[in-house]
Amino acid sequence: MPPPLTEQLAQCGELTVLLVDDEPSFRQGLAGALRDDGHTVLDFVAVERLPALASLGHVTLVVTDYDMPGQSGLRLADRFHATHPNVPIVIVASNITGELERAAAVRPYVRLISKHFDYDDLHGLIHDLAGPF
Amino acid sequence: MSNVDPIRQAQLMAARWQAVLDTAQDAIISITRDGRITLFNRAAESIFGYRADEAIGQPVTILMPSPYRDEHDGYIEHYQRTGEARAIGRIRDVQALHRDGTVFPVELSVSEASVGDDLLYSAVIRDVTERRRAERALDEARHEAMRRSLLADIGALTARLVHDLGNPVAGMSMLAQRILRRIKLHPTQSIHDVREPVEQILETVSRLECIIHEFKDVAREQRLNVTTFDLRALLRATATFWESEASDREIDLTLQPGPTVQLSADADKLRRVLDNLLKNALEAIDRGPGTVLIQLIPPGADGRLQVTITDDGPGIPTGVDAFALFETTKPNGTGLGLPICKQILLAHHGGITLAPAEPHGTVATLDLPASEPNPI
Repeated sequence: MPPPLTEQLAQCGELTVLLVDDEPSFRQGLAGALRDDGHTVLDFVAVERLPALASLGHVTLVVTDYDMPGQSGLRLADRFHATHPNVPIVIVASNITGELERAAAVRPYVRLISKHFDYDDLHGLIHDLAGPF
Repeated sequence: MSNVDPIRQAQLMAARWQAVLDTAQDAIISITRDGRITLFNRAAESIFGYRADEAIGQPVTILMPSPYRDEHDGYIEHYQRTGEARAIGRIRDVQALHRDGTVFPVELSVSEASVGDDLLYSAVIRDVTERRRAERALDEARHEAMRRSLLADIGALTARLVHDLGNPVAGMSMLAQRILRRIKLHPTQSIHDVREPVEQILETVSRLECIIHEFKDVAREQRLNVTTFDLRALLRATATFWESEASDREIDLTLQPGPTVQLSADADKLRRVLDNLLKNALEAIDRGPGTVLIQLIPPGADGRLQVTITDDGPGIPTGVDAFALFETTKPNGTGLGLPICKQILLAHHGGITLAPAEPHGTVATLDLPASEPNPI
């Protein structure tokens, strides 16, 4: 059994997480939990509120909602990957459709996770996503 | 004309009638008082499958399926006895019987003529098989379109419910996980350390309740509680309510109330519309400097008044139908607010429009009849 996320993330060192989600409670909960673990979180309510992606070179993990008003998480993933190809991207979705699964399957830098996830599950995804892609 | 040979005249008339009978697209059939066929034109041959020489002399009931066949003689007898017509002088939709046994729909029009003491009934019969088929196909297509539209609506509603209710629930789960982890990692820390995520959970619950309330409002029929009130006073109260939020956002909120207007309407529902539009206007600008202007335009010759709310925000993006259910440009919008406003205005026999403002922004116009609306 892998050690809990807290320990594993500690081994990873401090992460700088770009978190984009239009749901305030989810954003606050996840950002708070990550900050409690000593990570840096840049959280945004929408893709349109992000600074220029080129200026986010210090980001080591992206966690984005899929279904947001404006640009989708998938589109953000593609754009972010084009600029920062070694950064893993986790897309969280409240409704994982077959279409979304197929879209994620052809993007090795992306992992899908249901929005109703255990915080500890996040690590497995990060581990799987260790680049380069 | 008086020199024309009467026999020749009769022959000419007969020839003309024959030509009419032969070229008619509808079956034309005559029968005697006792229901024997005496005339059977070419279209009748084509429609029923009998040659004229086969049909003439036969009872007309050979062209009728049950129950018409069984009831026909009774109809004739009833009509001749009482003068009460069921088919004569009107077009009826009935079923007819082809020689091969096929039953098909026809339009039947019957007239009566008396020749001396004798009676003659003539019928014009139109085969409407193709028309009925086309009507049925159209009905089926409409039904299918409605079914698909309903399924699409249900699909959209379900997806929206999953998103709008599922996301806050996931958020509360994450907040609760954070609290548990904090307690686990720092068991001796003050309970005040978890105050923030607990408050966030309560805020989320409150927001969920608002969403559920809005869904209920969409589903609910817009019944009006009509009273007569001063619209200017309502506008003033609404503007006062939003003043502090406008001020926090450094937005100048101005009311140009115009003259006193007594309006018969549902004041609570109109207040709800005004609240929604003002909230939208302030959120559109987000942070000032900016202006939101409320104007009351009193009733004109058409007996209608208008209220406009103009903001100088970025305006509604092209292609967005703000009144469509679930359409929203706001990160936490439900896309229900403006559809509800529209419902409320429609219930007042009024309307609501959104248009670009100059040089930028949006002008929302409420249009209302000044007189009391009839409840719908």
